[in-house]
Amino acid sequence: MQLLTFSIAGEPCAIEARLVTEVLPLVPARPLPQVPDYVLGMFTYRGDLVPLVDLSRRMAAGPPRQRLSTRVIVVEFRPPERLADAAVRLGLVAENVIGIRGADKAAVGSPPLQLASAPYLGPLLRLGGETVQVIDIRRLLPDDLLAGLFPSVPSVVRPTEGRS
Amino acid sequence: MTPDPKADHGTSMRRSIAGRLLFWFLVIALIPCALLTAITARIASSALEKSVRDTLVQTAAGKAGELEAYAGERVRDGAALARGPTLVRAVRDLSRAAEAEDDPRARLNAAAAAVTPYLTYAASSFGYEQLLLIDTSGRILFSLDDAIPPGTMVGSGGLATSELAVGFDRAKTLLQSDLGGFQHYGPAGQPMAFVTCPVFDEGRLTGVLALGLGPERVWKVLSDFSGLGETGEVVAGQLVGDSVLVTTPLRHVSDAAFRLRIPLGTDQASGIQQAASGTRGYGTLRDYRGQEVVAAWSYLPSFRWGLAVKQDAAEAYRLVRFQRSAIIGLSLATIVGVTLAALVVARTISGPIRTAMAVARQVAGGDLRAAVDVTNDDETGALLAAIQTMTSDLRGLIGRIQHSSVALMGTATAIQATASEQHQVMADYGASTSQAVAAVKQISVTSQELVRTMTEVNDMAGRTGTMATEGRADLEGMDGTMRGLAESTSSFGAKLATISERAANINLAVTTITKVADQTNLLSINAAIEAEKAGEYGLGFLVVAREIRRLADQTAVASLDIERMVKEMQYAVSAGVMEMDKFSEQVRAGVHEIGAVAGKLGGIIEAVHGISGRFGQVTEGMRAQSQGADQIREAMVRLADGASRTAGALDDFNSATVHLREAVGDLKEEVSRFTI
Repeated sequence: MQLLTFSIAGEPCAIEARLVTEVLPLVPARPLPQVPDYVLGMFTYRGDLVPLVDLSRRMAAGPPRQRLSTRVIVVEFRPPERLADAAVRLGLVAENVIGIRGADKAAVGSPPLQLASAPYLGPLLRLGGETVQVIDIRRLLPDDLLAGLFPSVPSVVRPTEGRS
Repeated sequence: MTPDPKADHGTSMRRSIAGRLLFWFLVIALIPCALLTAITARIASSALEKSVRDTLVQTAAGKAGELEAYAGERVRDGAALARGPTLVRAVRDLSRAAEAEDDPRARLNAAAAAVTPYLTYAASSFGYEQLLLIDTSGRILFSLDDAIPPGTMVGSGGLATSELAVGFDRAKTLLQSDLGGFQHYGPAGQPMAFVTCPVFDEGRLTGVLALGLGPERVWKVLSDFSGLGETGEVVAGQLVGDSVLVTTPLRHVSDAAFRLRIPLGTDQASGIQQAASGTRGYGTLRDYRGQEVVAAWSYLPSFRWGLAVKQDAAEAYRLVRFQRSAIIGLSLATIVGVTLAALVVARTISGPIRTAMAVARQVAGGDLRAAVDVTNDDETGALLAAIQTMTSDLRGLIGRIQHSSVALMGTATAIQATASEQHQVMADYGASTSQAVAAVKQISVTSQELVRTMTEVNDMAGRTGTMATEGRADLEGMDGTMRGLAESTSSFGAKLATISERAANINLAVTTITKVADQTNLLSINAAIEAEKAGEYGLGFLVVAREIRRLADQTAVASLDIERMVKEMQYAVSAGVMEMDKFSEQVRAGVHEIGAVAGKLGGIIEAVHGISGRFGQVTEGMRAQSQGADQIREAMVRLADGASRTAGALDDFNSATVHLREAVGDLKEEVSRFTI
């Protein structure tokens, strides 16, 4: 399994590389009114309007530093409790997005955490002397917000690959 | 008559006159009257009591005589009957029949039948209820009824202790007729008394005639209560053992005869006790009911009875009581009448005196308006007229005094007011003078202080001039230093601008390197992601991507964070250059200002020299003013002394005026007590 690593408030985190569509330089987003502060707005990705979410603010760590390594990770996934063929696309802002690491399945350090206040926290892994927090991006946004951001067909795309 | 104490003087005098008159009226009128009444009442009640006693004693004597006469008559009748030949013969026949050898009872009955008509007639004609013939041995030969049957022995059985046996013995032994006591014979019926008479036949005692007598006749005599009023009665009793047995029906206890017993020695019915014991007497005592009675008692020898005639004391002495209450009522009426008369007379005399006293008290209290009514022309009238004259004269006099005192009071008040006013004016004057003295004193002190201050200021001005001169010399040195500083600052700013330019060049180079590294890194990540998605087929590509990324990291990843630092440094250098420019501008301005200050200091030095001379003149003027103020103060002190002496004199005058006014006020108050 390959993991895309980055850092939130200096702590190493990762997401599964198979869910990542592409990594982009930081792009400006059009802000949305009356949304949580971690939803930065919508940006245009290959002709589609995609919600841009700041992972740092989402995990209550304040705004990210403006660096060259601060980048946008475009992900595509099927949210839980949705139709089997309804996948959504999100842009995630994170710092220090500079590498991919291979991880053995057996190297998983702990089972996924079960916190009601932070359902998106996945397992903790030991990778090369560091403890890396895996983020489950399918549970990153609350259901009502997800339903609000993707109310209709255009933002729901049919998955074409990466399904196991 | 003293005026004090005023309050109860009038009442005591009134009590004195009216009381004395009343007392003597009562003494003179009532003492002889009371003595006379007492004596009369005493005599009258004695007479009444005597009449009651006489009535009772006479009644008792009358009843006793009547009963004695009745008893004697009965005994005489019996004796006469016993001497009759028919009866003597009957006794003889009956005795023989009783002593017969054969069947004495039948022969006795036959003999009795022969004499029964005669004997029945004789008994009824003399009013006897029973007739017995008894032979000398005591055997009853004949009887009118079956209560005492023939053949019974008198000396034995139920009759052994009876009055009949006693009478029989007496007749047989004394040979004379006699009346025995009443006693019950047989189970029922009235008590009976027997007259026993000896029967002689040819000079020899052959038997005894016993005649039974009922009590009705005796009771009739004793139940006659005429002359004894409502409660009077006659009580008869005979001595039986240690008690007295009442033998008559009583007015209050109708079935008392031969039932009621009065024990001897008790204090109840002591009259009948003494009578039954054979005494005669009179007295007031308690009867068998416990009631207080008046009684007379005597002894009836024929019946061996006591006899008491009595009447309730309340009834017997009713007249005495009535007389006593009448006397008391009359006495009270007399006392009331005499008291009223005495009061009226006392008032007639004491009334005018009281009026005079009231007027006198009113005058003493200050009210002179009192008017006196002179209604009569005796000595009291003359007294009242004199008091009226005196009051009216006094009224005129007091009125004049009141008018004068009011005028005097006004004058005194006016004088006092004027004096007070003058005193106030003087006091104000004194106060003003004192204030003036104080003010002048203050001025003097202030002037002296001013002189001292001016001297110090003058000194200071001199020193200031010196210091200003020195300051100007220092400023000229400083001006040169400032100019040097301005030049150095300008060259420093130029060097900083050079640094800033170099930093910008470095930044440009670093930015270029960083951008390349960044693009390379991004490319390698995306390549790795694509390789991951390609699965097994992408493994080789993944290795290539990793190598590219490592290369980029080695060359420039570290510089990803550099760019911003260089930018910040460049910014700081340009800010420093700007600050240096501003600073050198300020230094230049400072140099200019120092020149201006030096010029102004020169002006100040000249002015200070001028001021020094003027201060000398002012100080001289102030000293002269201070001396003048001292002189003014002395004069004002002398003026204040004079004012305070004048105020003292006015005080004396004022107090004298107050005394005068108080005296006039007292006089006015005294006079105003009188109301005209």
